[in-house]
Amino acid sequence: MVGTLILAERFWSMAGPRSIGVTFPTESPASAYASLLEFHEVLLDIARDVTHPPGVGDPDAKQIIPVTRFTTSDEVELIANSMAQKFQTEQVGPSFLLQPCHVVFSELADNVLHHSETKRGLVAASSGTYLRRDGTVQRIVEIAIGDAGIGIARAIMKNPHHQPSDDVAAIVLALKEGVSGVEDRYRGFGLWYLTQEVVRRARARVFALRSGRAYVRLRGDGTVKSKAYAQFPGTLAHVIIPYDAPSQQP
Amino acid sequence: MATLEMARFGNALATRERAREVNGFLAPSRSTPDILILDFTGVSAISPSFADELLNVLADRTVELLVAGAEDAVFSVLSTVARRRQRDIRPLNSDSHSASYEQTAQAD
Repeated sequence: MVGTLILAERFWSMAGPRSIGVTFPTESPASAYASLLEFHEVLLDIARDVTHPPGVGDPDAKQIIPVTRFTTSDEVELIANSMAQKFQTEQVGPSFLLQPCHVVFSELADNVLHHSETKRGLVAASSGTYLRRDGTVQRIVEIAIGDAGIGIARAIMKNPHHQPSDDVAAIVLALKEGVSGVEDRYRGFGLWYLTQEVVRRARARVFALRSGRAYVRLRGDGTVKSKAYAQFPGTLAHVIIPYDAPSQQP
Repeated sequence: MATLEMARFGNALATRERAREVNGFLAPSRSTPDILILDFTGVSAISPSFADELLNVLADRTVELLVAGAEDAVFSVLSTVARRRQRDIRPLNSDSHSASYEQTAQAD
């Protein structure tokens, strides 16, 4: 949904206001999930016509952060505190997942505000379940953050020490310690910390990044997969944190 | 010795900008305490960027930093950032006592 909004906003900026219509499949789980995250409310800012049949979705799905735009650090703080409150009072997931989810949101939002050269970012987060191939149910928390900015490659190439050969190389480079678009030996810490101290802490966790022509997916077990696609107008990050049960470690 | 209650800045501390507010809060004091206790009671999560900027803005103040009331996950972020910045940061012994920063500032 965050990626769709980024694309829709790019179309909106090219084609003019109120030129976009959005229709969801009838009775679709996607429509239910969109309703859960209040996707339609945000779409109405840029789309002239949005139909959203109710759909039937995951009964265990819970909203952690509805689809939300942010433009300032104060708004990021508000969203972070709202997320913390939901973990503490609404049981959207086990409390030990608050700190990793906070790191994911904060560090990716920080990158939007300070490196993307765009005015705003988008975020959404939820908890829910999915059916594994073996028929068992897996609980997950997932967070997506994106922006329609300059992308990771151009952001880190503002630092002359970093000149990646392509978008995939740029993403892989950006995940390393000390790599930043800012020439400061203490910067380039957030994405590295997110990768090492959140994603790599459990083998089934997933961190996917889409920027420029690249899609890179890092799993908690250390495997990295990448593909080249059509140009994406900005950056989209998606983190999935599976967990077994409230009383067990992920 | 003075104590700064970090929960006044939020339950979940996320951004570098929020960390700079700590410096603004300390600035009115006429003197810097020799030991500053950062009390994280009531803070449930912090980001590496917040922690990094916090230690950055406190770097110019040659104070010994002690941490009180921090949950394990919060202290883990602080200690990782402190190691990277080669800054010594220690947990406060639970039976230590100090005046709050506000009380110290008034005493100044």
